[in-house]
Amino acid sequence: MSLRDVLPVRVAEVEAVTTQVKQFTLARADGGHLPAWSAGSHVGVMLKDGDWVRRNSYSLIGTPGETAFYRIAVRREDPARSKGGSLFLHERVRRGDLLEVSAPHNYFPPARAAKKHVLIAGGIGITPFLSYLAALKPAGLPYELHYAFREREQGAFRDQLHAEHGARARFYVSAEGRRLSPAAILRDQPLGTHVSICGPHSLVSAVGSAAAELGWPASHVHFEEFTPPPVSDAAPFLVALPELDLEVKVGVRQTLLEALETAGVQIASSCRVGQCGTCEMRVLAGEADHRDRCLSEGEMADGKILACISRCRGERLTLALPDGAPV
Amino acid sequence: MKSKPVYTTLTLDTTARRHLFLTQGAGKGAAARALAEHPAADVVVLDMPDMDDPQDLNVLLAEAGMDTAFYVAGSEVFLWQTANVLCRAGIEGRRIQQELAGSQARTVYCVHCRTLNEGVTTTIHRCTGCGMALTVRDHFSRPLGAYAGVIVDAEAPGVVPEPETAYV
Repeated sequence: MSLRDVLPVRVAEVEAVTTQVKQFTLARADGGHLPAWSAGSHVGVMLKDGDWVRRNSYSLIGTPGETAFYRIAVRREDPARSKGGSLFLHERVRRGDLLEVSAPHNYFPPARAAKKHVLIAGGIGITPFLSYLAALKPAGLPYELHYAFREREQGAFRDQLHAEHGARARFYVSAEGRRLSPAAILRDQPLGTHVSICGPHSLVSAVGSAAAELGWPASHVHFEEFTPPPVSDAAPFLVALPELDLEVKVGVRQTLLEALETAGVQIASSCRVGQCGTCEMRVLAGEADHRDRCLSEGEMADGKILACISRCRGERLTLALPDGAPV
Repeated sequence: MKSKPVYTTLTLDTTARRHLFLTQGAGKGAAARALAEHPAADVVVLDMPDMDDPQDLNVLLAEAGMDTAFYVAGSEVFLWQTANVLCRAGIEGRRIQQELAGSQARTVYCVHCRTLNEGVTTTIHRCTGCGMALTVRDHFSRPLGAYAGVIVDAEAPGVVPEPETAYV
C-alpha cells in the first residue's frame, strides 16, 4: 500500500470515554482483516463533507498487531481553535458510517535499545502510549508513565491505566494543583533510559529543555506533537503550481497542504506536523519559511519544502509537485 | 568500506554534566589532552590496562546516569571491548567518543577457522589457527572488534602476494 491508498472502513462502535473524548472502533467495510501495525502507529482518517476535505492523523490504541479492527480516541477540540476534523468526528460520525483511513504508519516507535522507558503524556497525548504500554508490559522492560491532564474527569483511560499498571502509572491533575515536573521525573533515571513525550507543544518543549538542562543526550528524547508548533506570525500567501496552471491562496488559519487539498490537489502526506517528510515539494521561486523538523539544511538549500507546516517568506511561492503526483 | 570505523579526536561533550574517560596505554595522553583543552568539573578517568577485569568499569557504570558522556581512548581492541560493554548498558553511540591511540595494528578474524589473530600489521597474514594465508580486509565487525581475514590464494593455491606492512 502506498501513502495515498485508502482503506474503506465501517464505524463499528462509537463510545464516550470522557465528556470530551470519543473512541471509534473501525472495522474493514468488506469484513476482512486490516494491515498489521506496531506500537506508536497512527492512521490518517479522511473526513469529507461536500467540498470540505480534511485528513487527520490519530494514534491506534489498544494492542499492537490487532487486525480485526482499529481503534482511535478523538478529543473534541475547542471550536475556536479546531480546524473542524475532531468536531466532525464527534458530531457527525455515527455507528455504521463508512469512512476511509490510510494504512498505519509509525514515526513514533518505542526506542528499541532502551533499558527503561519513561512515557510522558499530556491530555489526549496518552493515545500512542496505550499501544506502547500494551507492548512494554509483556516484554518485562522497566517503564513508567506520567500522565498530566486538566481535570479529574478529563483523564481519558485513567482508571484502566491505574488498574493495569498500578504505581507505574502516575497522574497529574492540574486543576487539583498536581503539576507534572519534567525535571523531577528525569533527574535520577538510570543509564540507558529513553523518554518519550506526546502532548501539546508546551509539554514537549518543557520536557526537552529539562532533559538538556540535566545533561541528557538528545538521542534519548523522543516526541510526537499532535499539534504543530504555534504559528503566531502566519501571513497569507499565494502558491503557484505551474504544472497544473493553478494558483491557490493560503489563508492565515490554513496550512499550505490544506490549501492545496481544498483546491483538489492531492499530495501524499502522513504526520502533517513537519516530522515525517512525506509531503515534500520543491520550491521553484519565492522564499520558503521552513518550520519543519525533518529536512536538513542541505535539503532546504536544494529547494525542498514540507507542505504540511512550512510557509512563505513573502507573498508568493512557486512549487513543483512531488514526483509521481498526478498532474 | 562502510563498516570500517571512523574514530575521532576526543573533545569534551558540553551537553553532558559528567564525563567518564576510559583509557588504555597511549589513550591516557588523549584524555589528558582533551581535558587540557576543555577543563571540566565532574570528570573520572579510569585507566584500564587490562580489559579482562572490567570490575572498576562496572562500578562506575552503576553510578553513571543519563548525564554522563563516555570517552574511550586506546587500541582498537580496547575501543570495541569497551564499546560493547557500554552498548549493553544502553548507552547510545552518540554519547561514546572513540579515539584510536597508539598502534594501528589490527585484530583479524579468520572467517575460515574463527581464530582471532591479534596485532596484525601486514596486508597478508598467515592465520595462527589454520595456517591459511589471509588477506586482511577493511570489513570490520563491531561485536568482535576485528577485521575479516579471507583466504588469499583460493583461486591459485600457493600464489601468495608479498605481505606489505600497512597497520603500525
